[in-house]
Amino acid sequence: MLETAAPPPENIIHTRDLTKTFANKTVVNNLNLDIPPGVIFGFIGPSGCGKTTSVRLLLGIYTPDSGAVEVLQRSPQKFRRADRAKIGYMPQQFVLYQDLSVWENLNFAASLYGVPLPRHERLDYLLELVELTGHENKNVRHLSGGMQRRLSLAAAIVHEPQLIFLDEPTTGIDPVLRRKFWDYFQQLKADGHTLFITTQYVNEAAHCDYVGVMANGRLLMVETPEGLRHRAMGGDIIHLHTSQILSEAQVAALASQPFVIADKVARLRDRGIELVVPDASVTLPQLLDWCHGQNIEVESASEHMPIYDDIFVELIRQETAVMEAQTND
Amino acid sequence: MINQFFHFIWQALIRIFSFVSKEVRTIWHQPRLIFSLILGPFLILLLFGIGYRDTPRTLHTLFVVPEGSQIEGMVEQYATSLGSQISYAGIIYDAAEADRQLRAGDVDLVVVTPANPMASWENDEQSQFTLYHSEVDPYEEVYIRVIGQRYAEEINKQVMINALMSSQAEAGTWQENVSRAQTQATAVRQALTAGDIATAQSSAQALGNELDLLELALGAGVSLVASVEEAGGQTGTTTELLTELETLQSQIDEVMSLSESSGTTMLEQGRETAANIESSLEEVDGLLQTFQGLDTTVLVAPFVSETLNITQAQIEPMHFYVPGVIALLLQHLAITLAGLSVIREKLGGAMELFRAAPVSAFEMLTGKYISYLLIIGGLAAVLTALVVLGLDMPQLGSWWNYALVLLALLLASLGMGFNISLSARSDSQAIQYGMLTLLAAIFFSGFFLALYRLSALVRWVSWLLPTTYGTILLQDVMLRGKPPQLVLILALFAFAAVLLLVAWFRLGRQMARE
Repeated sequence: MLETAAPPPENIIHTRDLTKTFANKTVVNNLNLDIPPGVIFGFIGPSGCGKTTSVRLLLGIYTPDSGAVEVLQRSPQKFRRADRAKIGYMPQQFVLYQDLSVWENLNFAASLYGVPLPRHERLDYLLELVELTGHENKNVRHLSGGMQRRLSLAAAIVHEPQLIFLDEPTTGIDPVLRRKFWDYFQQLKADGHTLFITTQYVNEAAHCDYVGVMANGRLLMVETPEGLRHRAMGGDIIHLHTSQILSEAQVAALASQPFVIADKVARLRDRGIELVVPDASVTLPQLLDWCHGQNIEVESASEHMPIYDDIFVELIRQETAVMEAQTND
Repeated sequence: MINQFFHFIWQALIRIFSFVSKEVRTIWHQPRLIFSLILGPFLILLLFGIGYRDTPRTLHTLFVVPEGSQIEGMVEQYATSLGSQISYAGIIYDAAEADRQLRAGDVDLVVVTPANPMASWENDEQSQFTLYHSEVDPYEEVYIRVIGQRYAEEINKQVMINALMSSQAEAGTWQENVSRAQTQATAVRQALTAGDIATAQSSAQALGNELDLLELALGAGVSLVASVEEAGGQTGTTTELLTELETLQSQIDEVMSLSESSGTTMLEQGRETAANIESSLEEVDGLLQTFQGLDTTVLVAPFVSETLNITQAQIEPMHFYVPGVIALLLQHLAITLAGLSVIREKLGGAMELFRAAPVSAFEMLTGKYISYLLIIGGLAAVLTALVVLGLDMPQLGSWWNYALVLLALLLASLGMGFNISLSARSDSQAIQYGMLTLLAAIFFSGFFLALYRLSALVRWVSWLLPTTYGTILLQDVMLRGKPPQLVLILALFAFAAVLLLVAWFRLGRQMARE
């Protein structure tokens, strides 16, 4: 789905070589995206890598310096009111009004998007969805940070938008609430919404259908979570534990097996061996057979799922290496 | 197509009223703010009304008189007759001590009297009182200068009155002259009747001498009164007296021209003249009596003024300031609320949300205009009720006109506030701009200084302030009961429209893409 020559017509977001520069610093550099409708797209990268600027370009808040962008099959610069009404946006910071109650804030957001009257049922439903029922009359300044984020989310989706941009919705909230947020997002996706979510929590990539990894204003890749892991590590990872420590000769023999990717075998601290294979499900029986043939007693052999932090670090390392190589050339 | 149009309008109204509702509720949730916005200005006005003293300042005054001066008694007498403006602190001979007391603040004013006024007058020079003070307030300085002038005028008046009273006292002596002259005139007539021309002429000579003495005695005193009467455009008693005396002299000349050879006709004429002289002397006697009875105060100060106000109400000083305070307060309130409004949306991040949402600058601005008009209009209504009912403020004009002026004033002030908000980069900057506008309004709107005191160039600043229009128009409506001046009310609405258009354009640009 990345960098195709012509966008499939059904793509809800499409960009080509989208670039934005502020004060001679390129914040978004040749961004290419094609996102189909009805998915959760995670936009992952460290703070200051250009995620929010990308969102603002897609919303039409910023005008690109170069490149093309289409959202809902229209350039954001030419959005009509009807187009904007199809988009929901939850900014990074809480922008609702501290002096108003939960209900008044949500009602204001609904009016802003022209949600017709009566709208009590819709607001009640949303408050229930984000678990703020019973807090309707509470002044927002008396809400916890997590409750404020949930109210922001409700405000962003109050008009049932087709496309929802959520800029770091889970930043600064506890893991339990973060998990709940992802449950809301899955529910929204199930209801047919498309979600574009930025986050700096790499592990949240696992909840997305597609993940875009961004660093220093550049989109490094767009993959499924599985594909991302595969791409970062070069294949699936298997951890093998044996009753006796393998000799150097045994390790060298294992590395030369055809089901192991090019010498990607390493010792683990706990006497185990880590090997990278094309497909763990296919390789595991072959590995067990090879151990049996070598009279090696196997205690355990299983596919290892690396955490996404490690995957991200590896991807950034690879990208840095590529950039250095390009610089040297 | 029509459905789409109505749908568009309906959606726009929903968005506009989202801002109306938001702004009104935001204020409504701050009862203390509402309380202070209403009661604050009312209490200030009330305090002003209670505390304002409509009496001139009393100056504690010390008089420096040269030791042995002829006017020492007069100074004390006149100092206490000036009314409450001067509180007599005493007479002192030592000018250095008087200077010390003035510098120490023990007295407000030191009046140094002339050393020898008589000598000055004899040299045809005015004698001078010199007033020393230590005021830095230019208005107080003017006040002291006026007091000095009044003091000198009062003394001049008293001198004149004294001179006239002396003349009146002397008029009794003059009447004796007239009586002797009458005796001589009778003797002239009787001598002519008897054909004794020599006796007649002798008596006429004696009569002439008496009249000369009388004229001399009357002298300056009566002439002075006569000239005062002439200055007033009248021929009064003293003028008649002098005319009579001149007539008598010419009649005596006629008698003196008779001789033994004069015929019967001439003698007859002489007798008639003598009878006329007797009659004239009777008139002179009567006139002298009238002169003695004249009121010297009226003669010295024949004119007084009376000022009548044709407005229907009794305007107290506090009432005069109320329209200005209302205009100033509403302008400041509108500028503060609108001035913080847009900048807070920007700084709070809501503007980013609005840029992504289907809301236009027009809808946002309209919503904010309506909400602030409702809020400040409500506050203005309560404040007006408080000043009219609580401070007995006259409201002579139509309430519709009053509302029309407030509407124009608020629209213009809100426009100014929104433009400030669109120019500011922070809350504090917006507040600073608002305070500067308030300061400008205090100095240039006619609230504190009348507009005519400002140069034509600076007056342009006045006409850029809604308070200037508001104060004049509210004074017209409330104190004069007149409808608002068409030119001013139209100018204020036009000013408001220009500010709205500029704010709309600028907000549109700020809500557009970067």
